Amino acid sequence: MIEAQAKLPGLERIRARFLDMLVERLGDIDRLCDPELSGLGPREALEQVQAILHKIAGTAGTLGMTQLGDTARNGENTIISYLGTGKPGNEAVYRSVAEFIILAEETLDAED
Amino acid sequence: MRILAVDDDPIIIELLSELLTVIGQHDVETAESAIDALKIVQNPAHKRFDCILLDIQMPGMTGIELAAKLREMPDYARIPILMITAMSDKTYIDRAFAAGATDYITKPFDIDEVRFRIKSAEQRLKDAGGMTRKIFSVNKLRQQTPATEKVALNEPVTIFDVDGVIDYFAFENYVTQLSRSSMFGSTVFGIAIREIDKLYRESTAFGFECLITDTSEAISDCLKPNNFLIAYAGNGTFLCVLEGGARPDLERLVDAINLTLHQMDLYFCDGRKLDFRVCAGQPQRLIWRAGKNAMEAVIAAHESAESEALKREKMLNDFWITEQAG
Repeated sequence: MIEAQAKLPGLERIRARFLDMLVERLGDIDRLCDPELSGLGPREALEQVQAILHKIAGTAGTLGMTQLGDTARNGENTIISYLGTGKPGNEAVYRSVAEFIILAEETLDAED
Repeated sequence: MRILAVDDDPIIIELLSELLTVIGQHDVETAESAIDALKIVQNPAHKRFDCILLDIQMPGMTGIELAAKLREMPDYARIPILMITAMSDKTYIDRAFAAGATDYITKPFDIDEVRFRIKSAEQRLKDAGGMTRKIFSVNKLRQQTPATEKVALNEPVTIFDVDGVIDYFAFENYVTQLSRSSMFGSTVFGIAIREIDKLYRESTAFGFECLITDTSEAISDCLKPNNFLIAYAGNGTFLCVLEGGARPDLERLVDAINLTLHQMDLYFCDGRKLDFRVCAGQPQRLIWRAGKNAMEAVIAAHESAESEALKREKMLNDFWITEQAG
């Protein structure tokens, strides 16, 4: 987190809310990755995962979680590419989402 | 400033409220969707906002669609509209500028960048009411002031209702903010109206306005279907950015624009036929020219187009002198 950002008085409060929402969002991604639970087709489910990752990528860095933001962005971009061109393939998409989930869980564990 | 921030992510909304209050003690109101934002700005009980921040990607109505709707409202025709976007959203950024955005802030936020962008918007609002001082519009109903006062020849003007034509200050923001990798494949060039001094002298305020708006329409029509943005920089010169690696064949483009202008069958207000031509300067590729370097390329494109216009007139003049002497 850069020094100027650290001086924002409300940042800790927003960071705490972000982490609360991260728990919810991980639950949403988990549900979306299971067709039986989500009841959605693969494309629609991936679009929703992409939207969640997009939001996390847009805020995590500002809150001092740069690596989490970058990993979310990578997942988002992989899904966009896959939905648009069929590349880099289904397996790569799920690997990029899994990388994000693992890092997010580690982040949450470190905060406890 | 009174600022309306619109984003569907509650964390972004909280961050913006915090940031904007800290960096300038701004009065911030928020909305979590474009529809909610429209309800707020359309509510007569609400005091007008001085600046609007819009997330580009929102479900339902996008920030780009909302920007276009706001520009149709007289209260929001000129104020700074800053888009909030991820760095990777280049095509969205292009569309946002075409819809009326004046600048953008990238996510994740860097507080110094947000401060700079907001201060720039505030300064522009103080100096010129948000956009260039004058606005020309193809749709005359949208114009805020009738064309009785003639705009200065060297003054940039905002032109509404022509595809791809944006405010000059927005054009500067667009070019200077693009990252080096986004510049790859972008070319900037100028199109200048020849004998603009003479045309300006002989035109009324309204006539000059029509001359500029008609020329912008001709340029816009001839640049389709490329991905482009155009701004009127004053002095009869238009600056164009062409995206997507398209290499402009400027000779052919200028011929097409001149033909289009000829077919428009234009007249001065006193009924005389308005017959004029444009010419192009040297194109400047923006590859690896981020920030100030990109602006230098824009200035070079501008100067090149204007000097080409002068050179053409001198050549024509010399030709007639030679003819008469012969």
